[in-house]
Amino acid sequence: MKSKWMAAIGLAGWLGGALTVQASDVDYGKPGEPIHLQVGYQPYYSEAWSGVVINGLGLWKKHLPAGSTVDFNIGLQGSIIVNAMLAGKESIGYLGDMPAIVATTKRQVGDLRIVASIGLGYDECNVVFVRNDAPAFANADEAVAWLDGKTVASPKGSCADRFARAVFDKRHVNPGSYLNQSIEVITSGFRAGKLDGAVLWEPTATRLVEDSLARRVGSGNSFDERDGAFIDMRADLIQQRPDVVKGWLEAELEAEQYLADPKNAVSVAELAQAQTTGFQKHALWRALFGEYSPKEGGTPVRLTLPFELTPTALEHIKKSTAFLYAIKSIDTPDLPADAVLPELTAGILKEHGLGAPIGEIKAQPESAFK
Amino acid sequence: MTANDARPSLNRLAETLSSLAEAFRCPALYLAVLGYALMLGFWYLTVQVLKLPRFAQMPALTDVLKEWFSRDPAYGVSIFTRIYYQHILVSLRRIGIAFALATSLGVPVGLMLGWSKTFRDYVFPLFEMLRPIPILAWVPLAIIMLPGDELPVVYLTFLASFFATALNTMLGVRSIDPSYALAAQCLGASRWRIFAEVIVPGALPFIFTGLQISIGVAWFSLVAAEMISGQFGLGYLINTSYTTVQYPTLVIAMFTLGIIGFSTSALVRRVGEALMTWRTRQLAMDGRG
Repeated sequence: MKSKWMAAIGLAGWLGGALTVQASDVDYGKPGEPIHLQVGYQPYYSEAWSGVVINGLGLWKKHLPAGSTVDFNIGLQGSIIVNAMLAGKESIGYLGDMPAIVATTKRQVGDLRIVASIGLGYDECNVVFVRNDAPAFANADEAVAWLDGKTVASPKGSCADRFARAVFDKRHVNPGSYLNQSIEVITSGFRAGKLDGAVLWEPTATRLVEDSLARRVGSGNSFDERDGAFIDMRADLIQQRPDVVKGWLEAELEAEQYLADPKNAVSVAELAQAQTTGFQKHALWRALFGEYSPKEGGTPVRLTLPFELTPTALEHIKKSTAFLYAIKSIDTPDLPADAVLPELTAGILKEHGLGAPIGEIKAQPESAFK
Repeated sequence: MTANDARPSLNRLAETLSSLAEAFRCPALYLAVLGYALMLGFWYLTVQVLKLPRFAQMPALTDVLKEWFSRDPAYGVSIFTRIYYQHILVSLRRIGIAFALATSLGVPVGLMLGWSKTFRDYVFPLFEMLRPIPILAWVPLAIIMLPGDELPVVYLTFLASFFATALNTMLGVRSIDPSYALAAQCLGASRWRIFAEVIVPGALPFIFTGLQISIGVAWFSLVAAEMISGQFGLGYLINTSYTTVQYPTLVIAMFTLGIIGFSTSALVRRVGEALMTWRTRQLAMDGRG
């Protein structure tokens, strides 16, 4: 009996002690103090490779308070990073459009804000594939029409999922099965001949092409559907450590400038190769810098690097939010007014006397890869 | 219908009512209800009232209940939506097939492992090497080696159940006092008769314990297996709710899986008890019933 009372008292003490800590805020220390940051980033998503550059070149070291440390945690898709950020386990996340937007609608769990637009394109997250033995198609429209009634896969909750559903909606295509599968399962699915089509992002898209596992038949360019990558940050980090937020965005600016310089294309691929497994350098280079034919959904500009949340980026967020609400992916038709914070990046660009976009990544011919 | 024909039905009805009345008199029922109430109370208190660290970020009980019983759920899944029952039925079908396969293969393999030293020497090392491999590790091979979409899911769900059933069955056979078999042999029983009338009944308590573990393990494995299904099933719903950050739906799927898992385990236990009334009597005589 005595031990039961002791256990009850212990539980009450634990509950009481726990109450003294603020429920949802993470303590990041005071401005100027060293910080230990947990960053979720995506080396397996080329549109968000500014994170790979920051990590590979250690750019953060120049901009964060001396003595700070950063853990770069790989997320195989953005939603995994969002879950970690909502739980307070990561504070900065590199995300595709869908997870970046969804993340800002979960205020009851965690308060996340979109602070930077790190890439806008048409064929980085929005790439359509069909199985190798599919008929020859004259264009992407024909290919997507062929997917009607077929088995198509995409990782749900990803930017590719948003694109796929938007295109199916636009073209009135109803796949027989629209499967939620991870990129690895999709790769195995094509290998085993179990999929008719898939919608994926780079660099896995290029790897499928180079391994001859599937045929690339279109992209966002074929359907006028943009893709986008963003940085989300926890609101408590923004509130407590403006110095860290500014420092990180300075590093981001430098990374985007590095990406925009065509001379760095191969070294970016090398940085990505060092932070991934199972990818050849050529595939990584081609994923962000290489050329694809218009028939495959190729574009002359692979990626625009806005840095700032430009009107184009804001319009993309607005349009995507409406769509995500329509398909019941989020429970609100409009994001909270402060979900997107354009002033942070705008201020930094102003200080540097720069304008958005920072630059563009133009598609390079095969001969440029050395 | 004559009065005599109606009597068995009336007796059964009386028995059922009597069992129900007994259940309501039994403190176990009230304790179980209290257990659930305490769990829900703890959830509500820590998440919504006290808002404790970590707990405050959990989905709120009222949000989950509102979504679960909503006619127009925000994320599209509730007891009023067809898709909810589709997820349940698909999972039940997969569990049913996997469990049936695990039982029909696991019990004979386990009996042989326990009964035949030669068979055990051949098979047990391989069995023990394969047993610890997690379900997730099998995913790529299952997709490639098995045709269709359903077979890999059923195979992954079956695997862990099979090992639990076979291992418990083997332990059941090995737990039988060898003197029973020797006594039967002395009385002239053939090897087959000893196997059928001594070994199999003797191993039954372990077999049914194994089957209860097996059905539970099948539900564990379902979430991993349905990751590759791509559509439908409670495991799929949990995984998709995670990747689309729809926490109320995730909890709904978890609880639904728990409730159905509990019911299937209870069913297996009931079948076991019905088939082993001799064992219940023996336990009662030993004062352990």
